[in-house]
Amino acid sequence: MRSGKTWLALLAVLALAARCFAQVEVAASQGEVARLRAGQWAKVSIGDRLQVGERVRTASAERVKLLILDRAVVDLAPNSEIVVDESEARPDGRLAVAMRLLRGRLLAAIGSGFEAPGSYFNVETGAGVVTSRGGELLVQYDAADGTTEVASLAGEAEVVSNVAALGGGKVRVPAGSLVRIARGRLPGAASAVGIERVRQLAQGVEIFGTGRRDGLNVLHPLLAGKLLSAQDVPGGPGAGEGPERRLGGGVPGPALGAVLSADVYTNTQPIEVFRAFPPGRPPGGSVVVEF
Amino acid sequence: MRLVGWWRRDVKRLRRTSLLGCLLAFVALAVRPSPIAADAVSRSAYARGLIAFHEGRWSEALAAFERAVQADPKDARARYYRGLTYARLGDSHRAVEDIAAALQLEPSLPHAPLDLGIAHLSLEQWREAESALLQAYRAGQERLVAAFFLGVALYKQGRAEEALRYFQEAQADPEVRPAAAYYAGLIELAQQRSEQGRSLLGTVVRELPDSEIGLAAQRYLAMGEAALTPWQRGKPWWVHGGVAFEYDSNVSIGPSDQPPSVAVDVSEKSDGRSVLSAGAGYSLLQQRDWMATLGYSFSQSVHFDLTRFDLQGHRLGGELSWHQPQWSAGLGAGYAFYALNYQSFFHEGLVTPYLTWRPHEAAATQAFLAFRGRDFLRKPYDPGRDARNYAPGVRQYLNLGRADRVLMLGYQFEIEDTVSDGPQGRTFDYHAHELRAEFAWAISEPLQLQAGYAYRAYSYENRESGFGARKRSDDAHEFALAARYRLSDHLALVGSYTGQMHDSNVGVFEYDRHILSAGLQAVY
Repeated sequence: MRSGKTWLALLAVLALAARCFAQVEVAASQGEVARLRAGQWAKVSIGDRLQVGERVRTASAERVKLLILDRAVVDLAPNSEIVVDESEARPDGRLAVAMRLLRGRLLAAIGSGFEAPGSYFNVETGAGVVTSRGGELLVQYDAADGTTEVASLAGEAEVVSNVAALGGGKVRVPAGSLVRIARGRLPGAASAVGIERVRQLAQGVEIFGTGRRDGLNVLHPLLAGKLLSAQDVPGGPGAGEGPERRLGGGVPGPALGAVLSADVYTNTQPIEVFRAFPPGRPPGGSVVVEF
Repeated sequence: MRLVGWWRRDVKRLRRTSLLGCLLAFVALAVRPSPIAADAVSRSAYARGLIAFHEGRWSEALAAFERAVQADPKDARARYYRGLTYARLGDSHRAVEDIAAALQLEPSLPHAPLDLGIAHLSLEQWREAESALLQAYRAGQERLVAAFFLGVALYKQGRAEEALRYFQEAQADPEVRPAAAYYAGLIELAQQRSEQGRSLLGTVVRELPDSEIGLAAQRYLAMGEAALTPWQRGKPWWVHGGVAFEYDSNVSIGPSDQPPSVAVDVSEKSDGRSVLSAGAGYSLLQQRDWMATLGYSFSQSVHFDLTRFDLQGHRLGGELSWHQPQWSAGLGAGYAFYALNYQSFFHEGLVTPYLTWRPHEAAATQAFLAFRGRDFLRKPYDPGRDARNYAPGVRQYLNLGRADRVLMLGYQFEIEDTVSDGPQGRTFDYHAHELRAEFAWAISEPLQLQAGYAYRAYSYENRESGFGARKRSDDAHEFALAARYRLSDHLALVGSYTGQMHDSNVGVFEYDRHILSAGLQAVY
C-alpha cells in the first residue's frame, strides 16, 4: 500500500516534470537572443529547450524561431518579448499552447492538432487573447499604448479583449483580415486588407534559416586550404602534383647514403684487400683471420 | 474559411462513425492535409530540420526537410535547406537540383545563387558555376566570397587573366584571402611573374601554413623549380647538374686498424674529391592514372690524390606507374654502367616492381621486390662478384602532422646470389637483413633536411668469405644527413654527411667511413 503511494507520487512528479520540460525548442536565432531563467538572462542557442514560464526577448537586430510541440512555429521579431505559459501535448491527444506577448510582434504558424476540441493555441497581450486552431497569424502588441493588432495570413483566428463585457467581444479574424484592439476596449471589426497587405505587415518577422551562416562557403574545403584538385599546384595551369609525390608513390630506392654518393653505392667491398688477396684463394699465410 | 469549415464538419462526422471509419478518415486526412495544415506541417518540419542542420546531424536534417518539402512542395526555404543538406552529405547532384528549384520558387532567396555556384563547382560544372556565381557576385551577397569562387570557376576554364581579377578582389576578405592569394599566385607564376607569384604564395604560407595549399606553396618557395615534377613544371623534360666537393675519410674502405700480419698496405686512406653530375629526364606519359618517365644521369668523381678511385657513372632509368587515391603500383627499371679509374668497373640491370596502399593521406604501406643483376668487368671482382641480388621489402610512410614531414620505416631481406659456383663466387654469397629509417622535413621556406639511418646484418654463406677460416658475418650502420638550401628557383646549395661503421668477424672488413659534401645543384 505504501509502495503504491510512492509510485503514485513518483508518477505525479514525472508528470509535473514533463509539463515543465514542455517541448519548446529554439530552431533558429539571430543575434544575442536572451531567455530569463531562474532570474538570470542567458543567451539562447539553437536546440535549446525552453521551460514553461521562461521569458524570451529580442533586441533591435535579433530574431528567434521557436518550434512548439513539433506542431507550431513562432517567429519573434526584433524588440519583442514573450512568456511561454503553457505548452503541452496531453495524453488524450489535446494540445495546449499559451503564451503572452509582452511587447513586439510574432508570427505563428499553427499546424494540425490544434483544431481538435479542447486544443488551443493562445497568444495573450495586454489588450486581449488571440486563439487559433490552425493557420498562420501575425500578432503585434505595442506595450506603450496597449494596442494589439492581429492579422491572419491563413486560417481563421478569434480575438477577445480583456474587457469582461459581452464576453470580451469575440471577433473572428479570417485570412487576409486585420483586427485592432485598444487597451480597455472591445476588438474592432475585422477589416479585409488582403493577404498581400498582411504579408507586408509580416515582413521582417520570420527568421531565414537558422539565422547563422549555413551556406556552402562555410567550412568549404577550399577556404580551409584544401586543394580542389591535385593539379592546382605551383607550376602553371594544367600542371599538377605528380601522383608519384604522394606518400609511397614512387619506386623504392637505395638508402640515403647511397643516394647521396655514388661511391657509397658502388664501393661496398674493400677493393685493395681483394687486390692483395684475390677472392677464392687461400691467403697463403699473409692474412690472419681475426675472431 | 471554406477549408477550415470542411475540416471541422469532417471531424464532427467522424465522431459519429465507427472506429474503423474514424481510422480510415484519420488516415485520409493525414495523407491529404489541407493547404493550411500542409504549410504549417512544412514549417514545423523545416524548423525541426534547422535544429538538426545546425547541429550537423545531416541525416536527421535531411529527413525533416524531406517531410517539409513533401508537405509543401512550394516551400522554397525547405527545398533550399534540403539542397544544402544534400551538399553536406556529398550529394552535389541533388543539391544542385534542390537549390535551383528553390531559386525558381523564390528568385530572391538570399545566398542561394552562391550556394548553387559552389554546388556546381563540386560537380566540376564550371560554366554553370560561373553563371550562378556571377549572379551572386552581382547581387552583392557575400560579394568577395562569390568573387573567389567565381575566380575558381574561371580558372578551371583556363580563363586565367579573368580569374586573376576576381582573386585579387577576393583577397580583401580575410576569410578567403589565403585561398584567393594561392590561386592568384598560381596564375602569376604561370604568367612568368615570378616575384608577384612568390609574394602571394608567401601570404598563403603565413596564413595557412599547415593546409594543403600552405604546404604546396611552402614546397615551391623552398625548392623552386627543383621541387617540381615534370607535370608541375608544365613541360615534359628537365635537366639538372651539380658540382660538389667532398672529403672522404676512407676512400678505399680499408680496415680501420691495419692487421700487423698483412704485409700490403690495405689501411684506410682519406682524400678529397670533386664530383660533377648532370642529367636529363623526360615525361613520356602524363595521364591522370598513369605516368611514365625516362631519365639519364652521369657522375664523375675526381680525387685529389687517390685517382685510382675516380668513379664514373652512367645511369639510365625509367618508371611506369599507375595511381589511384588509395593504391599505387609501378615498375622501375634501369641500367647503369660504372667505370673506376676510367676503366670498366661493372654494369648492372635493375627492376623493382612495387605496390603501395595508402589508406589515408597521412600513411602509406609499400611492398616491393628489388631485383638487381650485376656484372663486374675487371679483376679482382670479375667473375666472383657477378651476382643476382633479390631484395623483397616493406616500407611504412607516415606524415608527421604535415605533408612535408615524412618518416619512412622499412625492412628488407636481401639475397646476393653469385653467378660463379667456384671459390671466387662462394666468397661473396650472402643474405642480409636491413632495417631503415628516413625522415624528410621542410624546416623553413628555403631549407629542407633529410636524415637516414640503416642497419644491415650480413651473413655470408661460405667459409671462403672469411678466407677459408670461417664464414664472414658483418654488421653495418649507416647514418646520413642532407640539407638543401634554395638560392633561387633553379639553384640550391646542398650539403651532406654520410657515416658508415662496419663491424665484422673478419678484421680486414672492419672499417669506419665519413664523407662530408658541399656543393651546388641546378635544375631547369
